[in-house]
Amino acid sequence: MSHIREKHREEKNLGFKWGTSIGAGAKNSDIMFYESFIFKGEEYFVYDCVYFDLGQPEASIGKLVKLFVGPDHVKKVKVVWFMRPSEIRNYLGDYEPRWNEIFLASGHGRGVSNINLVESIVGKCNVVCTSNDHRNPQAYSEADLRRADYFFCCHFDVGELAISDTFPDMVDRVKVEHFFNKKTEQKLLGPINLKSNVKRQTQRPNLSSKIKVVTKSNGVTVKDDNSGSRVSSLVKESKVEPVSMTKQVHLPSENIPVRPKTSNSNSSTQHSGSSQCEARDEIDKAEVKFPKDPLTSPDEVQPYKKRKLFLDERTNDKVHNFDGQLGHDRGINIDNQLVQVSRVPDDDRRNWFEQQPWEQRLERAQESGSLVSLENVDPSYTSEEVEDLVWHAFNEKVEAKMIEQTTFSCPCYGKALIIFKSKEAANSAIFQLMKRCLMLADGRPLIARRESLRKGAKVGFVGHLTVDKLQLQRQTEDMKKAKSTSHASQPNNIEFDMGMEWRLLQLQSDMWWKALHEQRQAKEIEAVRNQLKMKWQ
Amino acid sequence: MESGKQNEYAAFEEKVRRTVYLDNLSPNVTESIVRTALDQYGTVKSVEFIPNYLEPRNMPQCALVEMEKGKQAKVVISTLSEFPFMMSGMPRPVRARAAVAEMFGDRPRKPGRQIRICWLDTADPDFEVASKLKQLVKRHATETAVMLKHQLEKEEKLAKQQGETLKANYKKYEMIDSLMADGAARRLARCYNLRVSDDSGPSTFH
Repeated sequence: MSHIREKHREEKNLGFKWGTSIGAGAKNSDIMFYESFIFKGEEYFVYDCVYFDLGQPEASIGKLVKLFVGPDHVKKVKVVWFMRPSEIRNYLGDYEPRWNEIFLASGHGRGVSNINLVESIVGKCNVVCTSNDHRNPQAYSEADLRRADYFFCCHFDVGELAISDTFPDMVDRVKVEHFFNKKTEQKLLGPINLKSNVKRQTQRPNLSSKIKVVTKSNGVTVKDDNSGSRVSSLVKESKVEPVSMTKQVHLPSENIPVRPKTSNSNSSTQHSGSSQCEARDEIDKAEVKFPKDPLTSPDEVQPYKKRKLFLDERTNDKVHNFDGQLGHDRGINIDNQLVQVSRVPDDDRRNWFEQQPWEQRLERAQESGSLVSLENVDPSYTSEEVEDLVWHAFNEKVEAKMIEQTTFSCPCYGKALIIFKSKEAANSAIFQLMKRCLMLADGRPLIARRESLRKGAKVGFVGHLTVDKLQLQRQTEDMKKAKSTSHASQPNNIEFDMGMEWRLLQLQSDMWWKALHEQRQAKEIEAVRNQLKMKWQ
Repeated sequence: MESGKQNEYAAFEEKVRRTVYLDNLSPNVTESIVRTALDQYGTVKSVEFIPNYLEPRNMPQCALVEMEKGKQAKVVISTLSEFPFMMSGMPRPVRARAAVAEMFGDRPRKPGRQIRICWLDTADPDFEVASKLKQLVKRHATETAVMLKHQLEKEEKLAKQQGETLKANYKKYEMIDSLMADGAARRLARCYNLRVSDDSGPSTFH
């Protein structure tokens, strides 16, 4: 029954690999700057928004503005930070931030940016800028906004300790345009809407590139683009494998290496991006040029096969973006699986190894103290969603199983059993949930508790009666059969009467459970929830 | 191929419609017993027992039985509600009801679902309310536990009561039987000039 797979992915470093270099440092030629790098199976580009794990309970969000390695071979990134409302709550004044709003750090002073090690990156973050600044392409739709992890429309000046929604020209010596929305959406999953796709397409003609594309499973990307609405994000495309594609400019991954050369045209295309008519022509051209030959390549077959294996695999990147997109956009599966492709080796292993049966894992977890029960979960969640939830909240990979609803479980509450990797992880999660509140979007605070399985041999079942053993000898074959086969009692013997008594009791118990759950408990919950001030669904 | 996920979920929902949730099953009941029992109502496609990790150990078992057609499932449910259905023992009947999606532990995700979470700190305006909600949840959990205990106690009581009744009835039958068997009844009948038919045998109560 084990449907939870171990995720070893995050444990072992899938290797670090620099992308294209954009040159050595001006001041110090020992430092080499890069456009991108691959880390733990993800490709990060300059100006991507990522999550950092700096030891704080919540991951910090920042934008990578420089990727470089020094002469000491230590890989570093320079990050401009986004502030969470909780971090600047003393300076918000009357401003009421939304629950997923963040603020760009700006100004001069401590806290705007700093240099971090690559190893503290935990994953990508999808941040949308909703500012009305003229330099910000309003390239997002309602769906994008809903799908995004965070959005920002103001910046927080660390010098003046105040928020403002007019953006300066430079933030920490980086042009502010880089902080606004770009044609290159950073969403890993989910297609970008047509507008931003348009923008990306417009870029291509500008780039005079003879770069051969090195992309995995390109054909799928191709198909996505062709359909227009299924454009995968920049990152995904660049991870796509080479499939005898010596295609030209139009493949989006070109953007990255070539960007520095055409940085001027970048900003200009951002402006022009809004004029869709010209863009349309480009799209048509671009679409025409995409060949369909990848389908015939043998390489294709393999990734497809592997992807099918994980059709029910968690399709999100572990960091964020729960399956919201699945419903909205077609082709998500392909896109998602595209992302997964790089993780496939691990996933395969996971499948083929014999998993210990769930019960055994539960017991071991209990012995090691890492079994936790998570309560007040929405009962319609699935186990996978719970695992994603825990990952997002605590950056912990766990195994989860939703406890099934039974005849006496309250329909308002769901419960899940979580196996953490270690006792410390479990402890820290419990502690955090106790100290602060982790709320689900519909206004439920989650509770975690150390759980222990009920032990002991099964006590006898109440309700099945037997007569004195002596009589058994006198029973005929038929009688014995009648007892052992399952049958519906007919109203001609005592068995029927007794059975009916039991039915009566069962009905009674149904009624009192109903009374408890629906009438009392649900009402109490409603009463308290109405007191919530923030907008919950 | 988003339709893949949609299809998967639609197939799952269809399966839920065809599934019957049985409980009050004795721990001796195995999959084959359930299968043969419900085969008379239709084709049983699969039987899955729901493991019980957290509840008291003497809770009766529960199982999800997937039938081939939704109609068959309905027939099962209606029959089992009308007549007490015995499995592997008597007289506690098995209870059947229609399954719901949440009863399946390994259900697929619903497509188009989005989960969002938010951390609240002590300074947040809703922190108080959230703490209250947390306490409410805990209280409800204890209430549920108490009620469950109560239910189990009631069940035990009923079983005991029935056991007593059964024993008493049985004793009576035994007595009658023995009377018939050892001829005491016949002798008495001769004494009183009554006729006693000779169809005595072991009682049909087993």
